[in-house]
Amino acid sequence: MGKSVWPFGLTGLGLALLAWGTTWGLGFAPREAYMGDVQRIMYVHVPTAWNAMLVLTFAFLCALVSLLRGGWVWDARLEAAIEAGVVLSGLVCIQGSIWARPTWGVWWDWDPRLTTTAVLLFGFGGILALRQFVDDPVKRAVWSAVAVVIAYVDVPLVYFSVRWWNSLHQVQSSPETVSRAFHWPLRINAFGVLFLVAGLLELRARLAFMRRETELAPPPPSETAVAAATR
Amino acid sequence: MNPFLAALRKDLLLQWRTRSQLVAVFVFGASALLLFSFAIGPNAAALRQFAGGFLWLALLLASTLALADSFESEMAQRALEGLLLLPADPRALYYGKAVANLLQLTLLGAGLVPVMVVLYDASTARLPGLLGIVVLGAAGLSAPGTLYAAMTAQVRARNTLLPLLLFPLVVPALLGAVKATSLLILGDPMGQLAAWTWLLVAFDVIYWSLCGLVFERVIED
Amino acid sequence: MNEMTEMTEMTGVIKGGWEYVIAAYLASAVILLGYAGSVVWRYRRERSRRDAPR
Repeated sequence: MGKSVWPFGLTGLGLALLAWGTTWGLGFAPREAYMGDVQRIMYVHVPTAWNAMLVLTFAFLCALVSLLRGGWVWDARLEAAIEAGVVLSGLVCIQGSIWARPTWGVWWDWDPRLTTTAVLLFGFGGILALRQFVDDPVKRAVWSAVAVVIAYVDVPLVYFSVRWWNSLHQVQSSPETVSRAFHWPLRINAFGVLFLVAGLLELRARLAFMRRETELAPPPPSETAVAAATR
Repeated sequence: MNPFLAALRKDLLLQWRTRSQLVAVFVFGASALLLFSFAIGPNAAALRQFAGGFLWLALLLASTLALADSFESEMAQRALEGLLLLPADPRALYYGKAVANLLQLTLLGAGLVPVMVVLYDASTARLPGLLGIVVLGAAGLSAPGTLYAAMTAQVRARNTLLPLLLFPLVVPALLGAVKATSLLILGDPMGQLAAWTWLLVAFDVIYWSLCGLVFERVIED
Repeated sequence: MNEMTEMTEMTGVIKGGWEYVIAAYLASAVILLGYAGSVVWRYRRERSRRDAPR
């Protein structure tokens, strides 16, 4: 895998965009009519949620390619995508919980999208654990790819089942429509998180690839070891 | 003989020979049902309301034991590799094992129903419907459960990994089974039973096909 | 009824709440920057491990 430094640049760009979007959203965007300033959490919550879903979709694609074509590059990308997906999903749940408290008076409002994210967090977290406990690199690659495919196919099923289940009890849902004044900080932050995560995905994939190389072909013994063995 | 039927026959024979283990798993499930009721206390109305949920929780927990057991004999003396050397489609191996597990989980579930009826005062006039839901729900657990049991049987920390992987995955089946069971026990004034049943069917169809497709990759060397 | 709605003036509008906004952004910053730092640090460490024995 590559050795160039573009991922660092991309991550830095992402952070800069996030700083810009956050400042705009917190300082200059208008206050929302009913939720007041609490609604400003949206400027970081929605971008994180979008990117979490995007990264997990990327993981699904990596899993498919890894299963159909093989090769350690795609397994490395898969490992990176699962990890990043878990981090982002966890963050979405934390943000959603903090938002729910002043809005609905509870720490968790069983919103279908948030609840689906929580299920995804546990599902993909389990796959991370699976990768930790499998020692054979080939099995690790195949099994985690299979598990990702299976878990991803489940997403619409989980969403619809939770939505039907939820609709019988409450009609709460996070605001869907966003007026135009709120668009720009949202978009900027969305790209901010996207670039940040994309850069980190590349670095994390390179890290995984290097570890695979070490695992599959340990470095040749040092000169002193060879000398000692042949004495 | 058709390879699927041969595999099924092998697994049913294995289950018959280890039927004492099934009894132990059933006792585990029944005691779980008892312990869950302590969370509610002697409140008859509340117990009836949550009976469906607790039945499926007990069955879910029991299934991790039953599913893990189902690959025990394959791991002993490396029988799995021997099976793979046979000129049979690995999918036949999967479906044989999955159907055998389905039967076992259905038996478990059907056995736990009377326990639920007694402990939670949760009877239903629509018993065939309830048993139908038990079969569908057991199928939802059995398909991915058999796949993951095959995986985790070969690694360390297998007893933790199997539920860790299975539980988030079967959320839709669990919700469907719980809701359908509760509707059968408490009544269904708005006619929602069909919707939840179709959700279960959809989950089963998707995962019985998908898991059979990928099983070969999971057990190949 | 949570403590955010005014009792004297029942407009249904949530007043204030900046502590929640700050909490959400702080958690996001800690987790995103923390993860970024973790990836960069692990990457650099693995790179130096590989290049060192040569």
